[in-house]
Amino acid sequence: MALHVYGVVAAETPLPTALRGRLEAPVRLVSHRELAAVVSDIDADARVRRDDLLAHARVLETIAESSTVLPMRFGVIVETDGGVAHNILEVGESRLMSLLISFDGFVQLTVKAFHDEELALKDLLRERSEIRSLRDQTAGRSGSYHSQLRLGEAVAAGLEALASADATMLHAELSELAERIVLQDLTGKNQVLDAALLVKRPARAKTDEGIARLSRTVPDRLRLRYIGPQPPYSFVDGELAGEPVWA
Amino acid sequence: MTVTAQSRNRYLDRPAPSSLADVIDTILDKGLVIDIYIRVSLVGIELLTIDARIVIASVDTYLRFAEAVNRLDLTQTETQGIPELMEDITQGGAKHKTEGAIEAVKEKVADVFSGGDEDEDEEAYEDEDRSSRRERRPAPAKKPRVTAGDRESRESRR
Repeated sequence: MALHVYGVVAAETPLPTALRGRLEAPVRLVSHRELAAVVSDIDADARVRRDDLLAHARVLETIAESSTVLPMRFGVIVETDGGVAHNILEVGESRLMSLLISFDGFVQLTVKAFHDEELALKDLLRERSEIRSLRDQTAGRSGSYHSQLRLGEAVAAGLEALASADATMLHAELSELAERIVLQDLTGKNQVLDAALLVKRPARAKTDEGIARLSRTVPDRLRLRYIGPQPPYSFVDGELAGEPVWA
Repeated sequence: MTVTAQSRNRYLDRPAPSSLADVIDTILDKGLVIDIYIRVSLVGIELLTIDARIVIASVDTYLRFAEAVNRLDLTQTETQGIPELMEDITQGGAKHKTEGAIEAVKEKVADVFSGGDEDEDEEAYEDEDRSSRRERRPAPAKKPRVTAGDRESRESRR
């Protein structure tokens, strides 16, 4: 038996009742002085499945709803309680304490924006006469292979420019709603923006309103997703160690 | 148009919990790590996260765009987009539009994390994504890394 480590909280943090982690194991704290690691028992060789990934996120997001928690990246497995106390809490004590203090009272909220491809293409054709004329030259599949290719290339570049302009606009709007904002790597097709917002808990309602307003006013081609509350995943990245474990 | 905006907005009044695709973006890639006394009990995760960023801007992509704009009729009224949009919303908003790279990774997660006794997982997966093409594929092969964050990811067509 070993322990899956979800994150680190201040020692006196109350855990939500009946919180369950990977494979429905009860979530508990392992304390060392003023710090506590959020853990649950797991077989050291347990296979990782989608449910395990979701459980890790759920535990952290449930705690983040009411308390400050520093998230560990998925995959930190330690053999014993003593190992958690020493190798994570004691060794990392000063850094963990300062991170807990600096993120005290904050949550992360994530906004992802995507293009509806068809609406974005329509906007592109409306706004860009040169693409429109390229299109008219190749309409009805009468155009040559090369003219099709040229059209497609122009469209791809046009969509990229449109995404970039939309991202700039959203970034400016969202910056007004957060103490800090981090733009993250885009990983999906048609994705325009992935922004992590660090927000003070009392300001969450105001942020919610701001996002709702934004979602009403952006062009129809933009689809927004609003995720959270989360622990400050995007703001603590790797600070406990220099290198990702699998680098 | 109004219908569109209102329907869309209804889903953004409050933030929602992470979906599987969000989880892949965050917990496998962000958060504190320790470099000693650690056991990573997963195989292939590094390939998964790298794979999410692999992008091929191909001739196929261009041709697909060309075909898409050739099909478009700008004289259509906007309302013609609404049934499809409503369908989107009932199917979980923009999520299923997030095809391409994330989709590919989700499938790979399914593959890597599934051994064969994962019927319940398959069902959970169906909930995530209506399009549900669940063919099994061999584990992902190592591919050249493309720098993270490039916008070309939107052009990925896999």
